[in-house]
This record gives sequence, structure tokens and C-alpha cells, in this order.
Amino acid sequence: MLRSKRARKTVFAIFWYIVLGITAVAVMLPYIWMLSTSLKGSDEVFAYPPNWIPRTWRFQNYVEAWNAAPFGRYFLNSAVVALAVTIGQLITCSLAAFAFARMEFKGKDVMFALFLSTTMISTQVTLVPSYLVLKTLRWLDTYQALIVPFLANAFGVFMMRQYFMTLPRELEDAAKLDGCGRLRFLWQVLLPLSKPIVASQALFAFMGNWNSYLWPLIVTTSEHMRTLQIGLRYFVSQEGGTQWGIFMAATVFVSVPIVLFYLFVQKSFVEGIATTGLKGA
Amino acid sequence: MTALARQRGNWWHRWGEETLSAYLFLLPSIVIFATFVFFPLFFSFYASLTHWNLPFKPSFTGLENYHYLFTDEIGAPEFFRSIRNSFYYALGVPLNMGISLAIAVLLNQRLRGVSLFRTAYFLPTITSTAAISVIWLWIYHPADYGLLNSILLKLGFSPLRWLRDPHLAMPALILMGIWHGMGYNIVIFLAGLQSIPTTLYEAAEIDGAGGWARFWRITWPLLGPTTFYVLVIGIINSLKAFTQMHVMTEGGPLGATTTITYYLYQQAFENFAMGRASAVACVLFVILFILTLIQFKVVGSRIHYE
Amino acid sequence: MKRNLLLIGLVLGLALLSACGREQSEPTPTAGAEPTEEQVITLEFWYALSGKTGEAVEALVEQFNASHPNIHVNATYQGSYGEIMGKVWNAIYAEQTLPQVAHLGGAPLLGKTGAIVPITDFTEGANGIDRSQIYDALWEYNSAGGQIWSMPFNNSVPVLYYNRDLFAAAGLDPDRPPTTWDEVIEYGQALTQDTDGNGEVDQWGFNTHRDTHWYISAMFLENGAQIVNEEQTEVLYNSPEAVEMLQLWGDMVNKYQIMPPAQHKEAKGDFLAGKLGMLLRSCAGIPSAAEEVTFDLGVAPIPAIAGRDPVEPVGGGSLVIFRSDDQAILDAAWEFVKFMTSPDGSLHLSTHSGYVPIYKDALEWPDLQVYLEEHPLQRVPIEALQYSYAIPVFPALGTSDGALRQAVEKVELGAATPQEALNEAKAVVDKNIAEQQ
Repeated sequence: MLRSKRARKTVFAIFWYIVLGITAVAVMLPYIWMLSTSLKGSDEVFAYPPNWIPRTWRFQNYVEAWNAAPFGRYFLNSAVVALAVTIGQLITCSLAAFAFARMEFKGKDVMFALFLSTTMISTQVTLVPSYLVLKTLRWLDTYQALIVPFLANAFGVFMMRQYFMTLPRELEDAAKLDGCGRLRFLWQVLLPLSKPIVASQALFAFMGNWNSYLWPLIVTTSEHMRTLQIGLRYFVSQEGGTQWGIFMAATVFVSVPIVLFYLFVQKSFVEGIATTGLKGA
Repeated sequence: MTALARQRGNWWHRWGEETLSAYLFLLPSIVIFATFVFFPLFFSFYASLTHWNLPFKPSFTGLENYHYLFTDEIGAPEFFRSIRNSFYYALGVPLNMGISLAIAVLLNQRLRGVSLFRTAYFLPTITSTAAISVIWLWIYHPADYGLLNSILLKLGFSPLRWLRDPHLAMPALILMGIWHGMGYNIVIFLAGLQSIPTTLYEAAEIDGAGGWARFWRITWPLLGPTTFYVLVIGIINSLKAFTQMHVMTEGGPLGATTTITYYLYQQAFENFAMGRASAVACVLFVILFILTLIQFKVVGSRIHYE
Repeated sequence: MKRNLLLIGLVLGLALLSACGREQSEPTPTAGAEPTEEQVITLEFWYALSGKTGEAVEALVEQFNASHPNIHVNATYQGSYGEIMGKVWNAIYAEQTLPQVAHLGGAPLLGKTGAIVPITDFTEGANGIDRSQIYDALWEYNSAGGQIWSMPFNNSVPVLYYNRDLFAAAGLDPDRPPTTWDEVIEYGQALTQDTDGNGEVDQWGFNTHRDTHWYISAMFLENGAQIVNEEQTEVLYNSPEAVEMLQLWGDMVNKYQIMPPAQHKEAKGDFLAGKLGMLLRSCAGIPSAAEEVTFDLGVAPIPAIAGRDPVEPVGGGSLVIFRSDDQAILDAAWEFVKFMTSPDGSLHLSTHSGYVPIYKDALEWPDLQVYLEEHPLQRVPIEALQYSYAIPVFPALGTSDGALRQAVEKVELGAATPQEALNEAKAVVDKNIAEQQ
């Protein structure tokens, strides 16, 4: 009996591996193409069907890509901006989410609707007024222009609120008895229990800013304020040809920090499993 | 009497203090939103009542832009078509959620090497748009050397024109959107799955509940808050979707993939009509607001929290 | 305690950010408004060319800086033509500081805003140039409302790329590319093949790049149709001459079946992969295409109607000089623009990209001749410049391009007759013109 159960489990596991494996390869196809193109010469890029393994490996593409623009500076700028926004968003989002999830106050529904409504706006039309704001603040071509507008995020507030709401109410009662302040309760009790969601919010915030292009392009003008995504565009020519090999090489090294960030964050999902025992309490 | 007064005082104290601190908690977000979202929003609303071609100053024209969108011989059919197309595109949301949830549940198992898969599913979200467009143009290539077509031919079907066929273009974009958006949803679902105590599963297993039963009795209801979030945000984002259309079809063929946001883009950046584009944005805002409200009333109220 | 710390930290952070913002933006390099100790004038220059062409622009700027010790040009890439125009518009609208010189597509459209100085103020000034040395079409391309606003810089024309190997395989002479549309159809039919015999065409004869409005406009003009009337109050592309050419285009898809319907986005990739015999595309892509193909590449002028001259509508970007109260800055800006567009500048750009030199006598320049010996394909667009023509710049140009692309698509997919499609396009554009007034 026990044996057949184990056998069944193994069969299931193999089945899931196959399902996951096939879909994972399908899902990764474009990323694999990106990697393989980053090592190709121009004459190989347009082969139909694509040759997945380059005939000649051009590692030179990476060197040329790195030297084509001041990527060192761009990396620094992108890192400063993305990290500042990530930390800022975690603070503002968890504060607001806490209020919405665990507090009763007048105008809560209206405020929440207002928050959510910020996600319904098309950035295409708010570009001009946002530019006006930055001009009035004299923030054009500065780090503030790249950071401050993104320090609040309603998606994050909503996501964390949903999570906070699933945590047991008794947590508060216990905390109240101890005479904890709300902020301390949030910091010491709620957030540690919400690691997975904090991690995903951090990931999204980091990624969103790492990948943003149009906004940095519009609000910065000088070379030393530029971020990575603008550097990438440098390889895409509108009328002439795009240097695909070099472009993809640059794209790969630009995406590496996000992969690292993801791997780092992913741990918290696993950690979450280990600590769930506490949550039932 | 004194007891009642004390009670009342407590009540005031309790609620007044809580409301005050709640707003303090919201304050940082409110300041940012007010400056960088609500001001631009009001500005756009005003702009929607003007004739405004950048870089010139707007001039007030009342409801003219809305008249154009809802009654004009040229404007109205195009605008309504774009709304229809957007709703069509949003049909991908539940599909995306189903697939993402299934994969997330699989990835949440304690299988060896599963973290490798977790990374794999996340890669689409960080692949560059340019690479995505090149590879998907090949996947959907209308000739017989396109990836999908070569598979169809091997299976004995005739090839299809995918993105270049007015009837197939939107389904093709929906599929691509699922591929692209899955990574986000999986991350959120995975995070949500962590909130479910493993003890519940262990108890259910002892009761002899199978995998399927465990999913419907434990995972699904307890994941409600997460699923609801994914749904609401998914609908909002899909109605705002723009990149796929811009990169793959430019709104065609025959306008079949001109969604509201793509239409807005055309007005703003092809016709340089910022006033009209603002009017489109305002209508989209209202649509999204109503849709979200409905979701909160219909779905949100059934969600079980804690 | 922690709560206070957190709040204080937040407030401090914000305050700090705003504080350093003020410090930084106060002394924005307002282009040498105040003469510095060395009397060096600094110019900001925004440009829209990337990749190898972008490098060529930077090299030119460096040459200028090296040879002009009293002027320093700060060149920064600001995105595509559309993006850089967006930036300029935002800045004009918000009355924000503009650069002194910019490189733009559709530059003359800025004339109406009063933000730029007509380039004739400089070309006709004391430090002027002889405008007759440069192609007339290029001056027209930079004109709007009877005024020349900008300086031609990087220009291109459509040319026919063809695959010499596929020509030979189909029994066609690679040294005699088609010169007329009839020949395009004839050659196209020979080139359109089902190479693997599965009943599906997998090698097409002819296609155009995705900017179909450019090529259909060229065909209209070849047949004597006009794009817009003299007063620029209505477009004229529902004329019989234009309808006839869109009919021809549609026939290439549906009657002769040498071109796949609505497949322009894939056309470039198809051609580079050797799956397409002939591709109509901007000459700017010649050098990169030569690197990307594994077959023998050929280039020919745009085909014409039998017995008539071809028409090569010019495209590309221009340089503009923004207004300034300081004559010294304007003079320096012109010095820079003049350098960039001088015969030497033009030679440098056209030998480092696919753009054509803007001077009529370029083919007589010894340095260019040496270059063309090694890059014979690039001779084709330069010679084709004798047929160059400027599509008039009118405010609804963006709408017009989009409307024409849609008309082409409707005809290719059989959703409308050429007459219907062009009537609809005209209605849309005329409405937009009326709104621009």
C-alpha cells in the first residue's frame, strides 16, 4: 500500500516534470533567441529558421556593446534610481496597505477608490502635465525626476492590502496587549509574516524602473543622467539597420541584474514555506 | 450617564485617533499621487475639453472632442471599434489567470529543481521587447516557414496568416500577451500560496482528500484575495495594453488590433491631437472605474479574508 | 521610537532630494549665456541618429570641437525622430530651455511655433552659403509656408534591393534589374515560387518595407498625381492617377500574386533571409544589409512607369537652429550647422552610413569616388537623386501617412476598392487639416 502510494507519487512527479519542462522551454524560446543572437555575427541573425547555436561565436559583441556607450554610468544611474524607488515604494506601499487592510477610518472606501483610480490613467496623455510639474519643481534632468514620481504605487498598495487582510486578526489583539504602536506592529509582526509579498513588490518595483524608457528619455537631457534602457536604444536605428548581435549582447547584460534580483527574491518564496507553521497560530 | 459619556469619549478617542493615524500612513502616497497623478489627471480632463495640438496652447471647445468620439461619422465608428477590440483583448485575462495559477501551484510543490523552472517562467517578463517582437514575428510568420505554420503543415493542416489575418490577429496577440504576462501572475500567485498554512494541507491529507479536492477546498478559497487582485489588475492592464499592438501589428490588419490605448496613441502621436487623445483617456478612465467597481461589488464581496 | 525615525527619515529624504534638485538645476548650462573667462560658447545639440550613423555624427561633432576652440558642442542622443520631436514640443509648450541646435525629422513643422530661426537668415547672411549647390528637392523638403526652416543633413530615397542569387536561379539577368513596374511584375512572377513543393508559396517576388505610405506616394507622383493642393487645404490622392497606381499595387498582390498581402513588417527579414526577391526600402539601410546578407546583394533605383522618369521622394532628417536673443550664440550655432552640412561633413556622413550626400556635384569628389569603388551599391541612390522630389510638408502629414498605409492595407486585403480606400483616406486627412487651422 505504502509502496504503491510512493510509486504513484513518483509517476506524478515525472508527469509534472515533463509538463513543466515542455512549457518552460516554450516560454524561454525568445530569451534563448536573445542569448544566441548576442553571440552571432550580422550575417547569421536573419536565417530562417533561426540557428539556435551560432556557427561562429562572437563574444566580441559584448565588448563592442559595452564600449558603444558609457554603460558604466548608465548602470550606476539605473541602479540608484531602481533601488531608491524600490525602497521608497516598499515604505509607502506597506504604510498605505496597512491602513487599508487593518484599520478602520472615515473615508476609507473613498480613499481606496482614489488610490486604485491612479492605475487607470493613460500615461500617454499625462506626459505633458507631468513634465510641467517637473519644470515647476525645477527637477528636469535630475535624479528626483526619475525617482520621486514613482515613490507611490497603487498596484503595490492593493497587492499588499490583499495579503495583509489574509493574516489573522488575533495578531493585533496580542500586539495591543503588549502596547505596541501600530508602526512597530507593522514593522515587527506584519511585514516579517509577509515576506513573499514584500519580495514580489520589491521585484516589480525594481523591474518596472529598470526597464522604463520613455519617461527617462523625456525628463533627462544630459548624458550623465541617462539610464540603461536609453543606452540600449542606441543600437536600434530607424532607417538604417539595427546591429542585432551587439544590441542583443547589450540587452543580455542589461537584464542580468534583474535575473539576479529575481533569484535573490525567489528565496523568500521557499523561506515562506518553512515558516508557514507560525502563521497558523 | 457618566458611563455613557465615558463610552462616547472612548469612541471618539478611538475613532478619531485611528482615522488620524490612518491618514498619516496614507500621507506619503497621497502627496506623490496628488502631484504626479491627480494633477496630471485634472489637467487631462481639462485638456479633453480643448482643441490642443502640441506644442501650441489649448483652446477651450467644450464637449467637441467627445462629440467627435461618440457621434462623428469618421470618429465614432473608429472609437467604438477600439472599445470592442479592447474588451476582446481583455478576454485573455481569465485564461491567463487559469494558466498562471496552474503553473504556480505546480511550482509551489517541493519538487527537486523546481526553482529552476520558477526562473524559466519568469524570463519572458524580462526579455526585451525588441527580441520578443523578432521571435514572435517568426513564430507567427504567415509563410510556411513560420514556426506555428511549419507545425500545422507537419500535422497536415494548411498554414494560417496569424497576425496578418484580420480575424486571427487579436487571438494571436492574446496568446502572446498570456506568454508575456504569465511571469508576473505566477510570482503573485506564488506569494499568495505562501499565506496558506501547510498544516491545513497536512490535515486534509490525513482526512484522505486527494490533490484535486485539496485544491478546491483549501487553495482556491484561501487564495481568493490574491486571485481577486490578479483579476482586477489584469483587467485594468489589458485595457491599457499597448506595446504588443505597437510592436507587432500597428493596430492592423484593417484596425482589428486597434485597442483604445492604441487609438489614443494614434490621436496623440500621429494626428498630434492631444485634446482628443485626452478625451479618449478620460473615457477609458471612466470605463475602467466602472468595471473595477463592478468587480468589487460582484466578486470582491464574496472573497473570504482571513 | 522607530516610527518617528522612519517618518523623519522619509521627510529628510524628500527634503534632501528637493534640495539637491535646486542646487543642480540652477546653473543649468544655459549655453554660455554669460561669457566665461575663455569666451567659449557652449552649444547643446540634440540628435536622433543611433548605431553606426550615430557614431558618424559624434565623430563630426568631435572634429568640429577640435577645429573650433571658441565653441564647444555638447551632443546628446535623444531618441528617434518621433521621440526627439516630442521632447522639443514638451519643452516649447512648457517654455523650458531648448537646445541651440537639434536634428529632427519633419523639422519645418516647427516653423509655425516661432521657436526656430528660418535657415535662410543664415544661408543668405554674411557667413552664408550658395544654396544652389544642394539639391532643390532637399530645400523643398525643408520648407513650409514658403519659408526654408531647416538645413538638409541626412537624406535618403527609396531604392529597390534585390537578391542577385535568386535572380540567377530564376533565369533573370542580375545585371539588369527591373526599371519599370511592368518589369517588376514580370520578374516577380519568375521569382515567386513554392520551393519545397508543399503547395504554399515560400519565396515571394516583391514586397516593400513597412513604411508603405512612402512608396505609394512615390508611385502616385510617378503617375503625375499630386499629394496635396497648392493651398494645402486638401489632399489630392483620390485622383484617377493615384487610384490607378493603388490599383497596380493591389494587382501585384491579388492579380499577379507576386507580393503577399499585409506582410510588410516581415518583408525586411524575409529579404535578408533570402526568401524575397525584391524589396523596396530606404537606401539608408544599404550598408547594414550588405553586412547581413549571405547572398549577392543588388540595388537599383525605384521602378518607374514605362516611358517615364522615376520619382524619388526624399526622406530623412534636418538640422534646426532655435531662437536666441544672443547673436553670438546664433552665429556659433550656424557655424556648427554649416560645418555639419558642408561638403566635408556630408562626405563623412555618406561614407559612414547609407545616407546620400546632399551636394549636386558629390559624384565628382575624389574621396567619394574612392569610397564608391569599394561600395558600388551606394552609387545607385546618389545617381537617383536627379529624380529627387519633395513631398510637401503640411501639418497633417502624420495623419496622412497613417491614412495612406491603411488604404494600402485595405486594398491588399480586398476590404475596399482603390477608389473607396483613397476616398476614405482623403476624408480623414482633410478633416485633420481643417482641425489644424
